[in-house]
Amino acid sequence: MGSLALALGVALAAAFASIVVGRNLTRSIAAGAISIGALAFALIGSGAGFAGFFVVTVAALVLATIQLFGWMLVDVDRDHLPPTDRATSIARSLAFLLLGGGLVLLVATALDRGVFTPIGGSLTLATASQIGELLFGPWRDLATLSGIAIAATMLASLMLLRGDEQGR
Amino acid sequence: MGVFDESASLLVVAALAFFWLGMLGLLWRRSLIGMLVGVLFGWLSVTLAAIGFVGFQHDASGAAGGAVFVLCAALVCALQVALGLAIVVARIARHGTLDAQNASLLEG
Repeated sequence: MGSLALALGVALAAAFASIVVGRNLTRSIAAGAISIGALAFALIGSGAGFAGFFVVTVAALVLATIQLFGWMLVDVDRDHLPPTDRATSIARSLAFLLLGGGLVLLVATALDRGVFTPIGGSLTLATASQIGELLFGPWRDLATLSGIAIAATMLASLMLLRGDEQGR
Repeated sequence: MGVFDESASLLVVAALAFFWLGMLGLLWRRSLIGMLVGVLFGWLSVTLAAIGFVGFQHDASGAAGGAVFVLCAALVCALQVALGLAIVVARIARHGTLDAQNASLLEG
């Protein structure tokens, strides 16, 4: 259990690094590879079996393909892109913070209500009808809030792109 | 697919975090190649959630259904990356840049 949490923590940290070191494609791909490697430890160690092995293999192949095309298409030391202007950076930061806050609320509520643990002696929690009852029953408000947060994030991205198009 | 319940809970929480990271990649990166890395993490979140929820299923049919879902999600990931890279190559050929800020129209 502890090794699984550690491997998942390393995978998440490496994935975050892969995203934020975006000005250098090689470092970004290397961090992504570390993330997938840690995820392989987590999945295989948790007993996910063939599905875990398959997921990690496909992820590694996809990352290698992206790396190959990236090396063919861009300068790997820098992407030749101008720095993002301040207004766009602020808008993007607010958008992903909104989305992250919604997900944190979702996890916190789930942990408080014990959703991730067996309820009432029944171990079959994740049937389709039970998930539907959960999202349209006790979780109705939270599901609506998360949906609005995701929709706002998508809309903000589209509006930013449209604004840039009009500004050219 | 004998995932323990405690591990399954961790995998589901990690799936939510990976989804947030994928969205962060799509919002934060300006390079189309970098955005594809974000798409990869988003796909990983879906498959992690599927594997995690399979851990709550203790009957054979539920576990088999989860495994099939993971296989289908992998196929969708391969297709979306192939299409995404094709779009990237087309934009490079026509516009000579990977900047997503100038890619609001899908006219090539």
